[in-house]
Amino acid sequence: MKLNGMGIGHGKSEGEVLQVERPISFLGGVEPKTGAILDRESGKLGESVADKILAFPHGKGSTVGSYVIYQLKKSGAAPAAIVNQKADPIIATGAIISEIPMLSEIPTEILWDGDKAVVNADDGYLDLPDVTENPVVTGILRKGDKILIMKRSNEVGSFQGRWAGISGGVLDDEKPEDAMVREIEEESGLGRESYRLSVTGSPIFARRDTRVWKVHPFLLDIIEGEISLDWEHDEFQWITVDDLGSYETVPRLKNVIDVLLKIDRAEKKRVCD
Amino acid sequence: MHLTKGEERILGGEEGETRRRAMELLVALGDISKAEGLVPIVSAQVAGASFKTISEAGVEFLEELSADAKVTVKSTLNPLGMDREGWRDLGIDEEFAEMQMRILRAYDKMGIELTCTCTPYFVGNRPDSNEHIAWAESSAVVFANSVLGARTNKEGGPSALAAAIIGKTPNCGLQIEENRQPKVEVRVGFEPSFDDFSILGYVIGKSVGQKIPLITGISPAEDEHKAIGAAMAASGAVSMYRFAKDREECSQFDTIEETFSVEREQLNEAREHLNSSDSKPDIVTLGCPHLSVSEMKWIAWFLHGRQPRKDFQTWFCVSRKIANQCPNETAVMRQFGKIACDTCMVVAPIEKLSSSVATDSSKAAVYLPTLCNQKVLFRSRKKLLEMISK
Repeated sequence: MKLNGMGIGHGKSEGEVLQVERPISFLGGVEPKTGAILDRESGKLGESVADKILAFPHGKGSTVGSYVIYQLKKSGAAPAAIVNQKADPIIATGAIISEIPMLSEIPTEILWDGDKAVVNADDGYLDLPDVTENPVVTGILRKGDKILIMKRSNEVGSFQGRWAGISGGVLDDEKPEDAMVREIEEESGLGRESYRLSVTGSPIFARRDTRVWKVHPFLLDIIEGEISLDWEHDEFQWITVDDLGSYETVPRLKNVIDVLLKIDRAEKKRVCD
Repeated sequence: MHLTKGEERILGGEEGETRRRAMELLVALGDISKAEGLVPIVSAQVAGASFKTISEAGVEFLEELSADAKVTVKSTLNPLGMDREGWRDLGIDEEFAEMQMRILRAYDKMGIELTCTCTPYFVGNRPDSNEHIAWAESSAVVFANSVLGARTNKEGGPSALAAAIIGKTPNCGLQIEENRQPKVEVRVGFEPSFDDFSILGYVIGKSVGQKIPLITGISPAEDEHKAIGAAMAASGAVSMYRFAKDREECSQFDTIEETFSVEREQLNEAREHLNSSDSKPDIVTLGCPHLSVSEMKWIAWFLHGRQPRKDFQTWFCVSRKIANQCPNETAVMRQFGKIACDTCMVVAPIEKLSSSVATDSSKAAVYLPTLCNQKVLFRSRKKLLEMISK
């Protein structure tokens, strides 16, 4: 799969991924001569960043960290490329003065250790040749302060028995919003006149083995109409967000809902202002 | 980011590899911050001058760069890891001194004024209100934005250097008027004395983080601004504050979203928190940030007629230029300690010389334990002077 991001500096690198889940301070966090990770909270203590596609959320700590990256380069222990969720000046400065290709705006949590990866800072993309992308939509239907969750039947191909929003794959040549309308019709019986679109958000990524689901999230408010299930679900519930914790859901459902409601609140506030 | 034709040319390497790299760094940093373009600057303050902080990698980087890099605007330099003349007297070893001098020569070759101070605004780099500048050194950044009204983001060493080479900086953040409005009001519920300003800044910085505070109920003198700003930048990530002495002045700010107050009690708690030792310090230090002329005069006035206690060292940290302007004061102060020019207690390799330091600066008290492995005696300036004299 290919992910577009913001290219920082220039150049192209290939290598194996080393992913750190927490922000990194290069000063004190990485040994400048060997590339060994010194940060005990990183979960990767003692592993070397040398020649790796180093993925982590963003930098932290002292601005001297930029020079540590430069020193890694001089010692031949620098990462082949740096991939961040959000670029901060310390890491970007280090990457540029050391001529290490860098990308930001990438969901680094879906890069796993050992993945083969190509980073292209000139054109701003990351390629994971051994990982496939599955674009899907997830719709959260809302009625007042409650949201709809549905229990997946035993006939569906994945996550049987788990609770989910309205979801399904985006077909080739189909736009995510058209896929959403189609899936709502199929899974709930509601036509386009029965709800209005309130919020969409940037895609959320979830990974299992060599597959990545690119989830396009939608929040929709019911205007009228009753739910009628198809074969994909056995039952449905209208619940408050607080009750979500007592249901066994598909991965990242809470995450999707939180993102949508946060955008929804922000947009409402802006309208009120 | 939008680039002019001239900027594109530099980025394309038509003015040489060094200028291309400097431009590449500015463009990347501008893109990250969603800047629309670059803006010309009148001056730069470059950090990353002490061998202790930038180490071998920094020396190599600067020497490589200095082969053909030249700054194009007024550029001044942060403190070194030693007094460039009196380093032996401070106890600095030969190896350190040699590396430090290589750094100094590299900056000199690039055309940077070797001011070696965190207070460029005392030594001729003093921009006017609304002028764009690119300064590193957090305490100078906050002073420039808040007291001088000049405009700078908190630059890192390489980005300030790149800005000095190109003469421009990304037009974003505090370069832009609408981002310079205070969002949080901090009401000071008592009349602070000189010794309160540093610790007051520490308390405010802790509470406001990166936000721009409007501090009301204070009317600081310049040295007090220097103290409060340095502390806020160290305990939080404050790059700018506004202040108002009364409600009337306060009413011109209409962007406040939250308000809280600071009482004297919190200052005492913070003092205790920063203090990690009560035994005799190895070195008593003053001058974080570097001492001003008026501070030199006050210290000399206080010490005049007193006798030195010789049982520990004292460092008065000050820029060489200010020290030279105060011959009578330094003559008095030398009876009580060393005039440590070009450097300070935090960026000098003090960990090789000492294990506990006394200071009146909350900025120094924040960094001494982590960057210098020191125990800290946190005391008022008057207490420090009484400690070294009788």
